[in-house]
Formats: sequence, structure tokens, C-alpha cells
Amino acid sequence: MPTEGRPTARPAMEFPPLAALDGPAANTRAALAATFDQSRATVDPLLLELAALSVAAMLRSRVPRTPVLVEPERAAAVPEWRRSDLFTERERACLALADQFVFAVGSVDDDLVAQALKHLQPAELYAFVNALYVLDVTERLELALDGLHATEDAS
Amino acid sequence: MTDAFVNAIRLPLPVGEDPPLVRVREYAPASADAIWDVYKTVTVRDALDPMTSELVRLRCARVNGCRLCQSLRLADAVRDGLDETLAGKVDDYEHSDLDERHKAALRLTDAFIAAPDTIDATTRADLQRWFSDEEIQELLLDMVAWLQQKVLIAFALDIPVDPDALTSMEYDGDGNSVLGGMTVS
Repeated sequence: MPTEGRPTARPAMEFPPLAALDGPAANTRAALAATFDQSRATVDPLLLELAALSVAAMLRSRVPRTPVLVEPERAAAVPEWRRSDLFTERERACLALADQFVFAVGSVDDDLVAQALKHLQPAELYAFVNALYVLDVTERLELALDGLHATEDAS
Repeated sequence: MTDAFVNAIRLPLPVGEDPPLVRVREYAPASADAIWDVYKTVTVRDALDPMTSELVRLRCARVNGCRLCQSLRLADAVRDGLDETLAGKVDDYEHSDLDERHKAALRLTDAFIAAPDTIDATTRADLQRWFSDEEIQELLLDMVAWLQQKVLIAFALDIPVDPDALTSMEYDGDGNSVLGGMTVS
């Protein structure tokens, strides 16, 4: 069991503490935090929050996420968005891309990107996929660091 | 660069003479720079030996299918003995004769890519047989850096420098990649 007790929830787009990244790694933590800032500055905030909720769910984050912009009913439906009618075609195109990006990026195909391009300009889509990288890798890093340091945290 | 690679790119790019990887950054330069800054904070580190770092990079490249990354070879690792026989062992490393230290690093890589929630204190105990805590941290940060490949893969922008040959990769003093003598920054 990687963590003791229930972790405190945090807002969906809040950068995680990543406290284990100290010493020389503090530079990387700061650089990752800056990528969060850039994602907020370049991506539609609602799409970004939906992506953050989706990535956290797919990677089985241990930290509950509090939606800030997405309505609670829609936030709860994010993991099952394909079977939900609560999402627009634009949102569905972006969530579909997020799905493939997280676990099977090699399976992203022309059609998936073309669907997204029906709703986003190329620059918007590039910024969105950059944000997916930021969300994806930060979530993975938080899970890994939390898991590796579980014993010392619990003692 | 062949037309076949360029024609397969999934994202319309800004018009220009620069290579696709340069032109695409024009869409969100601050975002691209911030992500590249993460990469540089990792590649300037040197706690981990080049061979281990390179095997992990190649495993990420193989699992995600990055054509560019698979076509690169870290010059420091080649100097330390990396050849194509050794590089090929990352595909089925558990059944290879790679040493246990490298297998432990590659297991962490697979967990990070496929199921990061399974990384736990047992994983750490296994890694600590072979790596210091600083090296374990650097393994994870290497993966953070290498997984930038996913943006390129999504848009089919992961075009090899030379589609017909391997390209040598080094890092300059700032952590930028130098691919076949050309600095990427």
C-alpha cells in the first residue's frame, strides 16, 4: 500500500508538491511547474481541466481531484465519457486523443487527429497535446515517487 | 528528409523552410520552451551512467514506437560499449543476458510507462540493490525527459534525422541534444 490514509484532494490543475524532488532535482520540479503555468496560459481552461481529470483517472491517481471549472456531474462522468452524453463533440475529440496519448500513443492515427482538428486550430491542438504530455508525465512521476517513498513516509 | 515522412505529418505546420520540428514550435513557443527546459534539467545530470540511461531511453522509444528516438544512439554509451546487439536486448530484456542492474532499471521503465501506480517500496528495495537513491531519482527523471517523444509521435513528427542510418547523440553543456553534430535547442 503506497500511502497511509486517504490523501488530501487537490484542485484538478494544481501542480503536485513532488516533495521528493529536492537537491539537484529541484530544478526539474521548478521546470515542470513552469510547464503547468504554460499549459494554463495556452489551453482552453475547461478542456485542460477535463484532460487533467481524465489523465488522473486513467493512471489511477491516489490523490482525489476537485474540479474547479467542470461541473461535478460531468467531472464524475469523465472516466466513462464514451458512454456519457454530457460532453460536446469538441470535448469528446480531445478526450479520445487523451485516452490514446496516455497508454497507446503509437496508436494515435490520422483520424483521431483529424477529428480534433475539426474543433481546434492547429496551434490550439499543438498546445493541447503539449499539455497532455505535462499532465501525463507529472502524474506518472507523482505516483512513482509516492510509491517509492511509501515506507519512509509511513514511518 | 523524405517526402514520405513529411507527407505523413498529421498537423498542418506553419509555412517556412525550417525543419518540421522547428516550425511546429512556432504554434506555442513558450510552451515548447518550458517543456524543453524540463529536458535540459535532466540531461545535464550525471549521477547515472550513460549505458543505463541509454538502455532506458531505448526502452521508452521501443515501447512508444518513436522512430526518431530509436534512430539515435548516445555517444557516451557507445563509447562504454553499446552496440546493436546490446541495444536489441531491451526488447525482451527479461529473457536476455543483460545484467540484473539493467534489468531492474528496465522493469522500472516498464512500470512507469504501463502502470506507475504499481511502483512501490518493493520496487525501491529491488532498485536499491543496484542503484543509489540519487540514481533512482535520475532514472525517473530520465523517463520524464524521454517521454517528450509522445508529442512528436502523436503528430507523426518523430522523423529520424537520417532514415537510413543511426545518428549519434550527445548533450551540450546546457543539456541540449546534439544530433549528428546539429544542436537541438
